Amino acid sequence: MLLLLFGLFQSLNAQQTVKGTILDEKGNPIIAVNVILKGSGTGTVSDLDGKYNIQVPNANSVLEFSFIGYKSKSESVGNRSTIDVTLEEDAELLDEVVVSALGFTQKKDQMGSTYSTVATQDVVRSGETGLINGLAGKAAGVRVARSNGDPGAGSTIQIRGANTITGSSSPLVIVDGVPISNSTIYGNGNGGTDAGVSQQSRLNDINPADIESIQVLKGASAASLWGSRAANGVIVITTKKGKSGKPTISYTSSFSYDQINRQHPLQDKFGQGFNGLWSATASQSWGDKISSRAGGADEVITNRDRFEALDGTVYYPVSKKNSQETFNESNFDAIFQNGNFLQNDLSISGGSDKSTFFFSLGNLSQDGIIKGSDYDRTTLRLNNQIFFNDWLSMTTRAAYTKTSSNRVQQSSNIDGLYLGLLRNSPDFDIRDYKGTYFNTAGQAFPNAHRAYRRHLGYPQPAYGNPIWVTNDQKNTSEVNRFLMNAELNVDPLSWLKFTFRGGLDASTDNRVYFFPKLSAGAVNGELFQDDIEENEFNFDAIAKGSFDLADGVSMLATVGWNYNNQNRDLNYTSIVGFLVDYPKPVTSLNTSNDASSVERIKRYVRSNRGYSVLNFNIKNQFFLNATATMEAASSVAGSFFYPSFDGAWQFTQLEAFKGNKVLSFGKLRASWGKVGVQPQPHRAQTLAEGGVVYSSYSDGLNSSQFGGGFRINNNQGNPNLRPEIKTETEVGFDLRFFNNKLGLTTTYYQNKIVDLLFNVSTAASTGFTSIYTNGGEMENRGIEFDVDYDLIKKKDFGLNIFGNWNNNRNKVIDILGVQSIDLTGQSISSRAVQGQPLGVLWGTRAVRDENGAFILDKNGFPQQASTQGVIGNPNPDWRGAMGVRANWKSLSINLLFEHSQGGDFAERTRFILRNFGTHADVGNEVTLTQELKNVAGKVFPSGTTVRGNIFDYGAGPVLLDQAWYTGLGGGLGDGVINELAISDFTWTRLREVSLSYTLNTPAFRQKTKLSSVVFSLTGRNLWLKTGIVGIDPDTNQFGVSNGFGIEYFTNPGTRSVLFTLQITY
Amino acid sequence: MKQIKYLILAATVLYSTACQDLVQGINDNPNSVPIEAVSAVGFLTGAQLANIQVQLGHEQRIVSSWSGHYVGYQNLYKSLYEYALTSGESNGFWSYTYQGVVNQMRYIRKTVPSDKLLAGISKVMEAHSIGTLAAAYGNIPYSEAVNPEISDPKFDSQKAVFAALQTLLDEAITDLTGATKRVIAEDIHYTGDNAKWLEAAHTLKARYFTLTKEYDKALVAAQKGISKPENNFSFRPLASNNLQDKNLLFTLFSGSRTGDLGNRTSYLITTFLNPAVATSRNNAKTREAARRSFLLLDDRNAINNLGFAAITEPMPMITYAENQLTLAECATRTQGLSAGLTFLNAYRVQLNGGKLFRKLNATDELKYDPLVAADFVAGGLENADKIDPARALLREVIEERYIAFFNTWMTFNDLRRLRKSEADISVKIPFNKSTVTKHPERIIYPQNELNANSNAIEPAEGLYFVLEVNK
Repeated sequence: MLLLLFGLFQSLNAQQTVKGTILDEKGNPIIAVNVILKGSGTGTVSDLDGKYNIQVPNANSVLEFSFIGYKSKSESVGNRSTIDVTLEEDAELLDEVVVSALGFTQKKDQMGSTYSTVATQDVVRSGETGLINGLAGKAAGVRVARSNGDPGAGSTIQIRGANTITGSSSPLVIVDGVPISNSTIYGNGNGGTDAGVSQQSRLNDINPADIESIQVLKGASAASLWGSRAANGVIVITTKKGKSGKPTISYTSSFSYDQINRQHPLQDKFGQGFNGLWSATASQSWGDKISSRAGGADEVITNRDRFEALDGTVYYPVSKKNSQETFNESNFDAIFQNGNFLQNDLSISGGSDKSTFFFSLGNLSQDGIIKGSDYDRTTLRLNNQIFFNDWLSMTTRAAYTKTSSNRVQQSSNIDGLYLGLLRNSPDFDIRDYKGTYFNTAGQAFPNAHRAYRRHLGYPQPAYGNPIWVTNDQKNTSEVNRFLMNAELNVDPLSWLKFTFRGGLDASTDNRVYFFPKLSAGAVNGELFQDDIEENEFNFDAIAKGSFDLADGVSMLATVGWNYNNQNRDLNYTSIVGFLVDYPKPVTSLNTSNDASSVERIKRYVRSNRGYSVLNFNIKNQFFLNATATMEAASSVAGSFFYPSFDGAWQFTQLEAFKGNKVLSFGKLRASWGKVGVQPQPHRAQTLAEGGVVYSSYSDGLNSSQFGGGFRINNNQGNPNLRPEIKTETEVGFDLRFFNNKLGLTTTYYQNKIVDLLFNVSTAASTGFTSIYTNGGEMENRGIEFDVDYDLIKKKDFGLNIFGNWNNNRNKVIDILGVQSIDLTGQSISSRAVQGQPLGVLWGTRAVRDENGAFILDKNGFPQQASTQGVIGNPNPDWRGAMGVRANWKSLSINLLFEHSQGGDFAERTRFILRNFGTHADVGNEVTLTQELKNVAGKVFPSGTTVRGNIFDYGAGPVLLDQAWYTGLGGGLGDGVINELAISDFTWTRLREVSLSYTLNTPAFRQKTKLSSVVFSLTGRNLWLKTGIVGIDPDTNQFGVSNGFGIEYFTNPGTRSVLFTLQITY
Repeated sequence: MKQIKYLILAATVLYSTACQDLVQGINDNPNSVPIEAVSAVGFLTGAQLANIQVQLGHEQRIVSSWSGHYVGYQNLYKSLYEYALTSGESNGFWSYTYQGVVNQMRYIRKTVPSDKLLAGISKVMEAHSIGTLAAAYGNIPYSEAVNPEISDPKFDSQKAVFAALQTLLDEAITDLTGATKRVIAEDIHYTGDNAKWLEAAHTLKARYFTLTKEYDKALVAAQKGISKPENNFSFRPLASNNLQDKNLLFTLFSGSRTGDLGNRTSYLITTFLNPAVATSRNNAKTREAARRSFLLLDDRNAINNLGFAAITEPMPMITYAENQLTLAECATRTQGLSAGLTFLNAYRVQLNGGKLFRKLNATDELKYDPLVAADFVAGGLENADKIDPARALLREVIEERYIAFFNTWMTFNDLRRLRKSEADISVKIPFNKSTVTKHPERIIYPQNELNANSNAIEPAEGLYFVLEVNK
């Protein structure tokens, strides 16, 4: 085809030279204005001084001058040899360019679907180390939910609610026209998503400082070009390019000071023990009243066993607890610190009229608020653009990211930080955590692990001492990632353009999980190494042609073909049980073959798509866009077709609106489109599986012991898998008032996802017990508002208010009759339940009557229902954000508030700590003013002072004491009323506040030769209002997951203050 | 010019379709082998292990606890022992039967149809597992089961299933008779010995005819059944360092279920075999102390087990004892007392000779003297209550079966077979709970089947629904 086009290409015999200067209205030169000889397709661009030089065939030639943000202008040459031009700013078009899913710029006002643009400076200024968290609160309908505040921890991004039950909810991320991975892989060593450490989101490997623009394509129609990968929406990122002219050197340095955002309140009035009696081995802190102790040193037994700490302190068995000392604060300080990060970014960009470049080098070095946790990210990028001539140009981009981090075990995990710290009794000092245990016979056991309940470091700890967890256990991750991208643009004719674009995203993540001997959950020592390799290759060939169909009707046709190949190799090795006690994760800790295991899991997905897009412009008033995509993917049977249509009507073009003082711009838009979610790969075949354990009840027979052999897998292969298909319709308005000062965008959308994929149990009599299959339906609908109001826009003073709002409503319509699909596991789980929004909380309930009131027992307490069910819905009623941008001369201030209204959150840590007797909720003493009963029916006369709380469940006040909190009213597992752990999820926060001062006066520039110096002070998360106690509710036990709204000894969130200095040369 | 533009547009659109060839083969699983890659015999061992769980596993222990053999002491087994069985309990049992055994066996037959030895073995395996299921539940899917075209297999009547299994076993016998003997290492029961498989097939036929009360046919089939204890169809644990190839009871007692289920206070041990109990089976010609010691389990300390639950003690499933006692019962029923007595005495010789169990304590009495017709006459040694002598012999045979079938489904099967129609000769076992008046007659269908198969309907009587063959 290229040959054909080259054949068509005709060079012109230049006969006349025209030159000139292009200036803006203020008289400043405009660089890189397109100067086109009308009808020929040839042209040039203006240089750094706004000058151009072009050869034209004759005096009848017409030159067209165009540049984004300015109104185009035509000039007939006549006999002139110099044509100077002044271009007027086109106010309507400023900031109104969006980047499509194919990486091309388009005029936003001509689009029929929703494009949300997030300004890069807003992300950079947010003070977040990761790009994803920087998007929080920036666009309606985009939910960013954190795992926790650990350095480098990944986050869930969800656009317009859940679009899949068992698939990934991450949007497709397109960087410079090429998809990149945003996976969060939990792997083998993490031991599931309910525990382990925080895993990263791969999108955060991108340095926000390298980004030029971010667009969120929420609707199906804008994304349908990406077929089965686009159901979760698309985030389109464009990285920075150099501009021709003097090189720009920019250096930015930020220092952040981070603190724990919320701390679980603990009691320090009652000691370790039960029933009011002290015990050194008790798991709970329902012991004696500490202030009633004799005081002074404990009485000890010195002739039995003992523990000698590393510093020589000796601990003996306690015969009488006298000490009134408590250690909540010192224990906390032994683990937590003020975190910090230092980020340095250097960029150099520039170029000539033939080539431009952008180079950047960035480093982020972070120490978390938990001692031992860290994250270090180094990024390197070189973007290069070469204009070979006026019809051939090439862009190459290469980026490298290296991250290394150490994470701290958390959540449902006896080796986890908070589990050991928060269950720890207030009268136990954790600081002497390691030493030597001597038994009564004097035999020494070195490297003994001392923790509460094991105050002499023997036998193995029930829960890890938090210092052991942060200091001796290691959980490192080392990521190396390359992003490469090359794009060739061929513009042979004025109406025709070709783009060939290839990209590669290759990364490795080497993770080590090391539990030394005597770790609580790995008494003999365990070492896991997960080596994760991911790579994705993508290629597009795109042709764009413009056609004038009739007077005032034009069409832009884009046709293209895409090839995409994703490979993932997960290599898992482990050593369980060490022969030597050595504190480093080396593979020779056990040399026996029996101790080690190796597993390799590969995943290959390939697809190719042919697509065409037709954009019609009818009299600059109606814009119709149609997309057709045909996709063949390796995991899908057959080819699938993804159509979409959208239309926009700029009704303010009507005569009736011309010159309207109030409404400056109005657009009505509507769109419809289909997108999909690919099935899991490699599920088509029925497999032969080996190493099967046949067990009917704790009596397993392993086929490996009987010479190996195979069985036909009980999970039936399904060669007919189809993608989940989401069909979405949206309608909306884009309105601008008062000379474009007030902008309002509103959209109503509704979508239905059919053919949802999940594992279904089959009747055993079919010969299989499950099949991964399509079936089931889910829907989302909601309204989005984005508002932006320039209250004041003057040279020295500007004030802008902006906000966004969304109320997504999700409903699981059908899941093939399955009662529920568990997304998370655990005693309170997040599930898909028919007729309920996705993610509802599930667990043990209280017995209630038909009006929903508790049916109380004879003592006035709730009773446990015999069946589990839905106990809450973590989906908010609505979410919104509101902010202010103000500037006065060189000073600017930004504020961003974010609010999440309604929904339910499971405060499991608090609920369980009540059982353990350590939570401040259960540190109260009350003096009864009337006779009360506890849950066991025991009567406490008026005037009694008792540890507990008075509460009324509906049958008059009752006494909540140890019997209640260690029974149905607190604790873990299913033997409690887990419903009572549910609280209101509502929160409001000051996401960001920043103040910056820019020094760029002419005198300063003259004197320093610098363009500008900017000083900024940013506060991140400084204010939070919520009913959730002890933890920032923007936390998820299950990390990056479709299940949410549950917290269980999950590492805490943070707040920060940052100082930034930016110097631009 | 304009035409050229549209020509190019049209041409490009034509090129821009998705190509299926480019993604071909990528989806083949890179982590596991497809079933086609495994030779058919590779599926045999796993299916035999699945069948062992069907025959000797959890559900068998549940019904044996309803048969006076086991007692559920704590946790799950305690509630199951007290008849609190829910539909969730059977899921594994059905999946091991249909998926673990039948699907695998049919795949073998489909893949190597000309291999008569494998075909014969696969049919016996299928008949063994399905027959156990039919006896336990009554109507079950069979004619439409394990058919890729059918997602909701219909339930066949219990008698129809047994009839189909007789046909299948006949085919198996033809296959095995025509097969050449060769060593099949994957066959953990008989290593491909077709003669032994033939005997097992015949004993199975006899078993099913007994269940359907076709005693004349059972007698014929049993004539060619398992001829000596060495030919028993048993699970033989291995002597490795791994727990996952051991005697199932030993494994159960070793793990977290220690002390949950045992027989130290069961009817069998405390009453039926106990020499100290006057109403026990012990008499002048029969002393059960040694057999009782062999069958007595230590559920609280696995390693103490030296008898039936010793770490590598074989666990019988289809046995010489069953075959001989079927001969004795059916011969008595169809030919009279003396024919039956001959078979019983032949069996007692084996007992006496220590071929059927090990004597663990030197001091335990072990005596199985030959019985004579006079022992069964009214007022004789085995007929104190003066019933018909042939009935008295039958009662003795049924009692012997009650012991010989320890830890198999056949105990529960015999109790149900005779409880309604021949109460005079059936073993009278006590209830496990004072509040019940009936013994369970079946197991409840599994939850997964009830959920996913529209043809699965649980009878309203549940556990107490009397099955077709036991009426």
